[in-house]
Amino acid sequence: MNTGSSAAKFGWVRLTALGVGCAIGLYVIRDVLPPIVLAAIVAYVLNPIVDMGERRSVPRWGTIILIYLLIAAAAVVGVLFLLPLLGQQFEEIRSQIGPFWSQLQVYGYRFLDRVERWWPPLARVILAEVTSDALTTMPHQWLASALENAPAFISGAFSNVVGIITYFVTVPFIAFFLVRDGRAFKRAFIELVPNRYFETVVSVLDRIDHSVGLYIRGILLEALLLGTLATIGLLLIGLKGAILIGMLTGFLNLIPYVGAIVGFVVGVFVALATGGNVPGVVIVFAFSQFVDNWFIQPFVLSRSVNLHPLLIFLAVVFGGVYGGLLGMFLAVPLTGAFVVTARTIREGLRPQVYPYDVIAEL
Amino acid sequence: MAHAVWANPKSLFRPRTPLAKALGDLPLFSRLSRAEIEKVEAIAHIRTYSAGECIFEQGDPSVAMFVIMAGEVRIVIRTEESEEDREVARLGTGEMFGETALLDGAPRTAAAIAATPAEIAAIARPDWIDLVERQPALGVRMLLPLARIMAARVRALNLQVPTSQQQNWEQYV
Repeated sequence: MNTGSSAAKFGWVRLTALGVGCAIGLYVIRDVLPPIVLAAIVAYVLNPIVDMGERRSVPRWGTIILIYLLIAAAAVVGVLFLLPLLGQQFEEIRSQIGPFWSQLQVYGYRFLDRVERWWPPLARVILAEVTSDALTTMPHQWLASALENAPAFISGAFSNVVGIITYFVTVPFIAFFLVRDGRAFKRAFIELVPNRYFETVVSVLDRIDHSVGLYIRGILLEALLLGTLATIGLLLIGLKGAILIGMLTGFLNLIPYVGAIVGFVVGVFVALATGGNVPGVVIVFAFSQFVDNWFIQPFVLSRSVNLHPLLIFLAVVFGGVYGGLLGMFLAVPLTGAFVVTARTIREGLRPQVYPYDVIAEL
Repeated sequence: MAHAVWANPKSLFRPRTPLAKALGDLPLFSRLSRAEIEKVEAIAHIRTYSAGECIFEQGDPSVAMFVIMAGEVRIVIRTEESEEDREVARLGTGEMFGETALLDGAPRTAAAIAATPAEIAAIARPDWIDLVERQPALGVRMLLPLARIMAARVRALNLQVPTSQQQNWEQYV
C-alpha cells in the first residue's frame, strides 16, 4: 500500500499546486480580468443558442458569427431609432422638472413657516441644511450635469484597464473562442488533474458550469422581463419617459432590489413633475414586483441560487469601491457564481447514497 | 447509415487514431460512422496509470466509463468478511468497463485497479450526455447498443436469481 499512499500524496501535491497556480494566475491577470469575466458572461448567454444551432448541423462558429451580426444590426437600429427617442423623452422630462421643483420649494418653505411657529430651533436646523448647495441645486440642473458627465463616468469605469473601445473588441473576441472551444479548454484543465480525483473534478466542474450558467442566464432574463414589463405598464398609463424609465428599471435590476427601487422612485417623481398618473405608477411597479416574485423568480431562478440581501449589498458596495460602475454590475453575478461553486463542491464531495439497499435486501 | 458517411466525407481519408480504432471495435460504438467516432473521440480523456494504481474505488460515485487502450485492469470486489480482494474480472486492451456510469451516478459496485502500466480512455457522463443532446441521431446509435448490453445483463442476472425470488426482483428491475 506504500505505492498507493505515496501516489495519493503526490495527487494532493498536484492538486494543491493546481489551486495555487490558479490563484497566482488570477492575480497576475487581475488587470485584464474584467473583460474575461464579461466575455464569460456573454459565453454563458450564447452557449445554449450555439448548442441549438449545432443540433441542426450549423457549425458553432457559424452560429456565433450570425448572433454577432444580429447584435450589430440591433445596435445600429438602437443608435438610429432608440437613442433619439430616449433623448427626446429625457428632454421632455427635464423641461418639466424645473417648474415642479420650484413648486416643491414653495411647499417646503410653507412647511418650514409652520415648523418655525411650532419649534424654532428645529426650523433653524432644517433651514441650514436646505440652503446648502446639494439641496438648492435644481434637479434639472443636476440631470443636465449628470448627462454631460455620463460618458466620462461610464468610460471611467472601464478606462482603468484599456479603454471602452478595447472592451468592444476584446469581449466579443474572447467570448467567440470561449463558446467555440470551451469544451477543449475544460478538457485541457482536466488533463492536469491527478487520476484519483479525475471523476470528482469532472462531475464538480460540470455541476458548477450548469449552475453558474443557470444563474447568469436567470438574472439577465429577469432583468429583460422586468424592464419590458415596466416599459409596457408605464406606456399603458401614458407616463412621459416611459421607455427611458422602463429600460433604466430593467438595466438596474441587474443589481437586485436597486432596479425596482430606483425605477419606482424615478417613476413617481416624473409622474408628479409631469402631472402623470401617480397611482398608475404605483400599480405598475407593484404588479411587476408581484410578477417577479411569483412567476419570474420561481421559474427563472428556481434551480439557481438565492443570495442573502446583506451579501448582495456588501458585494455591490465592494464591487463599486474596487471596480466602479462595472464592478457594481459584475459583483452580483460573480458572487452568485462563487456561492454556486462553493455549494457544488461541498455537495459533489459528499458521498452519494442510492437506494441499492432495497435490492440488497432481496 | 449512408447519411452519416456523407455527412463528413473528409473523415474517410483521415488515418484512424488508436483511440478511434479501439472505440470503433466496441459493441457500444460499432454502429457509428468514422465521423461520429471522431466526435466521441473528441470527448474522451486519455489517462495514464501506473501498475497497482486505483482507477476507481468500490463505492465511489460513478462518473465515467473506461476503454483500455494498452495494459491490463483488475476488477475487484472488496468485502468486509475477508481482507483479500476478490478478483471478478481481468480486462485487457480493447475492453471497456464502468459503462453504467453513462446512465447514472450510482456508487461503483467494484473497484478497478491497473494490473500493469495502462493507458485508458475515459468518457465522462456529462460530456457524453452533452454529445447525445447536441447530436441526437448519434445519441440514438449509441443508446440502442447500450440498452441491449443492459438488457443482456438483466437476463443473465435473472438466470442467477432463484425462481422463487424473481417476482420480487423484477419489480425493482
